[in-house]
Amino acid sequence: MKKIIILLISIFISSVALAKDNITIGMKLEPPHLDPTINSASAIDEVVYGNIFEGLFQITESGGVKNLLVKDYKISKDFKKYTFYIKDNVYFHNGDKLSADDIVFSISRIFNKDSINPRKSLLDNVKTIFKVDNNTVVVLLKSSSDSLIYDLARPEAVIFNHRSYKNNKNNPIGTGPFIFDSMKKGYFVKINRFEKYHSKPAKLKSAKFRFISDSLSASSAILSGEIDGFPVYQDVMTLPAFKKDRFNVVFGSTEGEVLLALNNRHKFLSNPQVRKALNYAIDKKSLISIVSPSAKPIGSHYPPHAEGYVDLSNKYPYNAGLAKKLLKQAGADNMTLEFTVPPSYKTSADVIASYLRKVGIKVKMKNVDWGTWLSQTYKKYDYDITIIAHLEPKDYGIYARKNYYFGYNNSHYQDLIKKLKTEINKNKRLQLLQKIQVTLSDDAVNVWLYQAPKIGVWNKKLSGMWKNYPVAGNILKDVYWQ
Amino acid sequence: MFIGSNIKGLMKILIKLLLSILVVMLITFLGIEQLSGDVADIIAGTEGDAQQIRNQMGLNQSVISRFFWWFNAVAQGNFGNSLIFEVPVIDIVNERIVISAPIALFAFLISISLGLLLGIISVVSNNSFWNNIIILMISFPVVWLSLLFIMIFSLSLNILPSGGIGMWQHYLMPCLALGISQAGVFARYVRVGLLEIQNSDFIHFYQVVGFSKVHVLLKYGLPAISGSLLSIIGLQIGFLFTGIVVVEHIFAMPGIGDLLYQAILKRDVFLAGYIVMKSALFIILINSIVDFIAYIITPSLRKGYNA
Repeated sequence: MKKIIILLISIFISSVALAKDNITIGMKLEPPHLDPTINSASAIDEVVYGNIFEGLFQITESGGVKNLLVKDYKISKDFKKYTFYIKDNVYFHNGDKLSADDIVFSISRIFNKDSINPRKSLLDNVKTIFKVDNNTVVVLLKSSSDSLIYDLARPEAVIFNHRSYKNNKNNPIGTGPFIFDSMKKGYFVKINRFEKYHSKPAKLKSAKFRFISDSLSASSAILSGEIDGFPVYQDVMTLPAFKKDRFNVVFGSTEGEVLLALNNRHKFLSNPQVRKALNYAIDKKSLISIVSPSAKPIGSHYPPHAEGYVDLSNKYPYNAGLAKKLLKQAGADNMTLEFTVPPSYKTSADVIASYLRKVGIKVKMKNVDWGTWLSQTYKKYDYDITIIAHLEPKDYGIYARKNYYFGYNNSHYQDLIKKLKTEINKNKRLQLLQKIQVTLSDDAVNVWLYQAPKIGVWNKKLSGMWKNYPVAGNILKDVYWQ
Repeated sequence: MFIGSNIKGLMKILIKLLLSILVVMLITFLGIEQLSGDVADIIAGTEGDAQQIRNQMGLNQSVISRFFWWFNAVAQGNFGNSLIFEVPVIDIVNERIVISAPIALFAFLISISLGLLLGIISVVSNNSFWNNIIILMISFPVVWLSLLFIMIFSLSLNILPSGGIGMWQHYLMPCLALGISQAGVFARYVRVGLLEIQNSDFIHFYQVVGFSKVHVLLKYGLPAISGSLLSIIGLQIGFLFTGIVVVEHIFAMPGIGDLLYQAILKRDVFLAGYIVMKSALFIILINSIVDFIAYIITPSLRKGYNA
């Protein structure tokens, strides 16, 4: 009897002493495979970025950039020559040492002619990349630009081992704090701590990403403790179920502007008066209170947390009467608009449609899946209005593209973007950024609705989870159990 | 003579099977091709070079030539790689069938045994209570039942995992939810069949002779309606497939239903085509087996084949 009691006590003590050192993270979408350089699916980035794979630089939680595989870098005065000095003690998970060859290989693979990298166009400006010595790499640009560092920090620019890169889809080998362990497609990806990591190793011994597409199943998995956290949680309705004594429900920022895109090529929508009318017609605040109560309203294509933000969210305050008047003046008071609605925007679209109907616009709803949205709306401009989140950071440049689905064509704006690319003076840059926001808002290119929040739900004892979502990623290096 | 007619029946079934598969292949392929956007658009996203991806994947040929290419490959037993997962479709499908098959099997067994039991009880007891239970069960959508189970067993009692795979406990709720929701339908057929037959002369005869009603219905009534029940079972298996897609989604199980959904969303023709083909083959096969058994055990059907 005594022995049994002692045994029980010792089991109890040992179970208390061993703090939990693994974690199960929930994600809505499954990655098709694990190579972020050949597929645009953000689920890939959310598993591998900063965990398995690393770039020369890394985007930080606040949206900045820090050195990761480089110890230092130098930029020439004309912003055309970048010299990178690579860390000395970096090893890949298969034991190979990181070399300048790997860097040259990985980066040229992005902008090569036959590249299928989803961010290929961002490195269009690179003229050449070459190795100076085993720890030094130089990039030469065609024209001055200061965005290279940021672009090299993205998940699509992670550094591969030039010997093993072909297998990265199903057996990824990187330099990150975690080694790939196993994957069950559609179900989970497991990673373990990499003991030979070049900086301070991860605190967790292992981590598992579990994929749960149904939001009700996700909430029950969190509540029953089967998963420890869901960093990008989308179902606002079930949030009250997570009681404060067990869970942290954390509202953070994203780089995503949710907007009602207006086809500026459309017969009526090409008229700024009509676009302004649509801006007046929609009550953003009540829309937000229905679909995403923690979100911040915006009035231009710029996130409120970013430097240089101008608050234009009240430039076109809700005013159905004025909207009607503007529509009538433009002869568009009887127009019919087809509203293309991609998945997960159904509720928002219904609310917006009811506001548009209030001012006399006939709205025809058309629900589409992501593939249809991409090919019809985005690539063929075959739409009148649509709702979407633009998750790309610093993406105001899209309004300067002549062949873009907005159909916005303003040479003054295009000049502003051109200037911004080569402007080095910080104050002048901020001025340009402000002009950019105001110009877009003046022209009422779209109806900007709100800055998408990131809602994270996780166990209260979990520390080090990222609050914000500056990039698609769940970086687990500094996560630990209290 | 009897064996000869059996072979003739078998041949007919086989030809029907091959034709069905060809039609299924064509419909799946064209069905996905007519959706706007292709797998290259999805892989490229908003900023990538979809045309380059198409070139590398060989997707820049016409629909017809791609279908024949695929058909030719399949005929030679080569089902190709999934365009989105970039692994052989056979591998990924086999991985998932291991998960779906137990759900299908146990849900099927539950639905048949529970359906039989309820159907018989409702006729034997001659009590509207049991009939109402059956009607109630038919009206349980599998979604609702699944959520109810999760609420009770995972969230309130915390004795079963709310989703996932790996342990036998993971299969309890999905199998029960699917089985129960299908049992009602089957019970209805058993009930109607038994009710019809209990008024026939031979049943009355046995009862007059002195056998109890239960005994007569079980021993002579059930075999008499077994032919029609068998064809119902064949149909039920088709519905089971739809149900599996639903439970796999709710219980976050990476089975074949979930995979098919993903394959269609991502325009992965080879993967979707293979899954649909394999499921169709399975359903046709089961139905053919059921037809064949019914044909053997029912003399009247056999005459039909001979004519």
